[in-house]
Amino acid sequence: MDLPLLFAAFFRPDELAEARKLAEAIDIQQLVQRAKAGDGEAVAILYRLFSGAIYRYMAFRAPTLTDAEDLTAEVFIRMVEGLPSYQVTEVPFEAWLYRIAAVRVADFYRQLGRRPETDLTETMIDDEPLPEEQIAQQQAFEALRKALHQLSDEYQTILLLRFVERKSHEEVARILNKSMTAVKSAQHRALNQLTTLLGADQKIRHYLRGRRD
Amino acid sequence: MTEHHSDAERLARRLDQALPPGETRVPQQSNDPRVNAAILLARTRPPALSPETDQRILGLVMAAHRGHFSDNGARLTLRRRSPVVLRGLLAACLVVVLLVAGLLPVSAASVPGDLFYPVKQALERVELALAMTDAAQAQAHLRHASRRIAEARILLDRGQFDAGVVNAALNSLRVSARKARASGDPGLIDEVQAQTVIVASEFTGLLQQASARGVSTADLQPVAKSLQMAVSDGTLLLPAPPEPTSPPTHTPGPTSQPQAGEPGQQDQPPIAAGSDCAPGDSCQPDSTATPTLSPTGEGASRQSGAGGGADTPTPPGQQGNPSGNPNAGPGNNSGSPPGSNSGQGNSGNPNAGPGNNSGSPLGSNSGQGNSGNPNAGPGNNSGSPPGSNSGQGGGNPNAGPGNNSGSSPGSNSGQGGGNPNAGPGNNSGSPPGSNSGQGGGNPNAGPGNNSGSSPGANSGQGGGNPNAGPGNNSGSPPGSNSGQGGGNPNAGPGNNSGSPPGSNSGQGGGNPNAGSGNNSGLPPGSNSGQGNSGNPNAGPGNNSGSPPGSNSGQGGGNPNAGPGNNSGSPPGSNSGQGGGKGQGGNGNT
Repeated sequence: MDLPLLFAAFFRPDELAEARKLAEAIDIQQLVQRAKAGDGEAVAILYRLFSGAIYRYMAFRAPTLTDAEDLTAEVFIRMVEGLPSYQVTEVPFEAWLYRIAAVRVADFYRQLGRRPETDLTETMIDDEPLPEEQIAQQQAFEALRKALHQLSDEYQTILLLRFVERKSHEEVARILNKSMTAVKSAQHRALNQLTTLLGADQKIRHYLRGRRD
Repeated sequence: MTEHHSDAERLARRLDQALPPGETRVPQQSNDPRVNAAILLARTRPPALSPETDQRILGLVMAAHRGHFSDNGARLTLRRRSPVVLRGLLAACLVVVLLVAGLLPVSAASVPGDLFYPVKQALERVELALAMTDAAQAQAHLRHASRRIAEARILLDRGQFDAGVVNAALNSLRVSARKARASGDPGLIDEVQAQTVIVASEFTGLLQQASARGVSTADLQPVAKSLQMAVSDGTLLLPAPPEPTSPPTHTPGPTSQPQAGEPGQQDQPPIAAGSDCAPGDSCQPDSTATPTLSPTGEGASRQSGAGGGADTPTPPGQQGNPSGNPNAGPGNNSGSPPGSNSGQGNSGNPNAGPGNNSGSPLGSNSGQGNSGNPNAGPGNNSGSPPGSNSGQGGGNPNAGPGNNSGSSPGSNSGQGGGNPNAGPGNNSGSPPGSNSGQGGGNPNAGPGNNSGSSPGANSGQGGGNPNAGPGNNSGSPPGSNSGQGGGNPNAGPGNNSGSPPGSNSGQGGGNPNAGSGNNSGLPPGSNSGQGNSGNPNAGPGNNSGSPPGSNSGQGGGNPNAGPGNNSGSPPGSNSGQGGGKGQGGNGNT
């Protein structure tokens, strides 16, 4: 068994950067083929490789972190279910996962019947008091998520892939099956909207102006 | 529209400049508010998935996988297309399943003592009866083990600790292991291993939780003991830990505690050019291979390496696994408190699961696995703190990926001053001090940033990262390095730098068998011994041999280097085999 493959199985979400680098080295297609054939280890490795990214995506898109966890699990369960019929193409495997994820989120909100106002207290699931810095971080995250939720599904996905996952325009275009021009154009509109939405927030408005204190 | 397009294009360019794709760097601020919004997004991280949740989700996914590929022999057949003959049978099964499913939601959540628990038990018996093959039975028992742990957890939440349920879990694991072995299916064995690890770590997590909730040690100990027994006697199917180089228990050795400078078992044959021989396995002293060349630095400090510690006579007091958390599960594990610890596994967390594991604190630690976290799982593992550490396992010999730091300053000897078989991640070898024996660095570390041992006198095998995977590997820093592996002898591709200035002797001062990438041999200094100063078998890339200085022995340059820019050793006194490019590939002249 390939050693790097074994290592990959042990990655945690916060080690994603490392895992990413490794993922480039490993043959994802080969892993997918193995998973398609029912190889449990390959499934576990695929989960380890992509769970961090999918969870981050869900954390931004779901109303609460608990929902994000559930949705992440659902995406990978769908992956397991869909693998037998998955066709290997030039489109990266990751793109397939993101598509499952986007559909899952949409279904989730459809079932919920409405786009809920993100409730700050609801998402703070920790019972232990957090250090100040962490609270500030969490607040920034909440504010951003709230603003993001005002955007269309597609805009959210584009912004998350571009700036949280740091994908190139080309990669995003491939994941969304769109042209580069369309992605750039959508990104432009999405950022304009986000800037306006964030501008309503006093603290963030100050930041957006781009001046240092 | 055109205006929008050109604006979108301009913004796209500006964004690529401020936040280059594929990088993690985030700039402070720009004067475009839209770029600032993007920067804000790039900077804001959602809270990370906790290891427990991550593990739970993986468990769910694997359960879904098992459900989907339930029997190894009949993979996918039901899903893809069902032959007509099977249709009727399927319909009949469906009725049973629906009936059962009606009861499941109620019974599944039940625990011993509940009204529906007998239903659950009955269903499980049915499940086992329906499992025709060994493989299916192994899977069923695994599921049952997992359920028992879940039940124990629910009970614990109600303030009860039921040793019976926990033992039943262990029993199910045992049976599952037996069935999996009986099936003889390597794929299944692998899967059962993976699942057993998960269940076993849930098990230990449960015990920790129970302990935290005030369940008495008297109640917990028997259960913990039986788990430990099952783990150690091999009844459970667990993946074999990376083979530690020459297990100390098999090493007849001196009965005295290892000390720097003492002749030890690292007198192994130097790696022959092109050989796959990796320090730590086939090249061990019991190997029949004969040395092809005597490293000139051999005498300097051949060290009591692997196993030195286990040969430590059991001093008065502690023997066995007395003071750490030998098989601790995930979480924060701290080893034993200050003091003098000896014997096996006595002061660290030898087989600890993922999490933050810290070895034993200050003190004098000796014996095997005594001061670090020899087989710790992924996470932040720190080896033993300052003090005098000897024997095997001063660091995190087989630690999983993550940030692993070897033992702290002090005098470290024996095997494993660093993170010999650590997985990928940032691995730092032992810090300044006198390090001797095998594994001053990260001999078999996986890919990542691996730094060898810090300045100081490093001797024995593995001053650097002998078999490190791809990544940035730096050999040991300035100081006196001797013995095998001052650099990154068999390092994978990446930027590999051999040991820096200083006096380097013995085998492997450079990157003898390094993969492709930028490999630099040793810097100026006095270099001697085999492979010590260049990159004898380096792959393609920019390979530079040793710089001016006095180089002797085999491998002053890049004798068998692949294509690329290969420069041999520069002026100086170079002697022995391989002063220049040797049989170098298609390099520039």
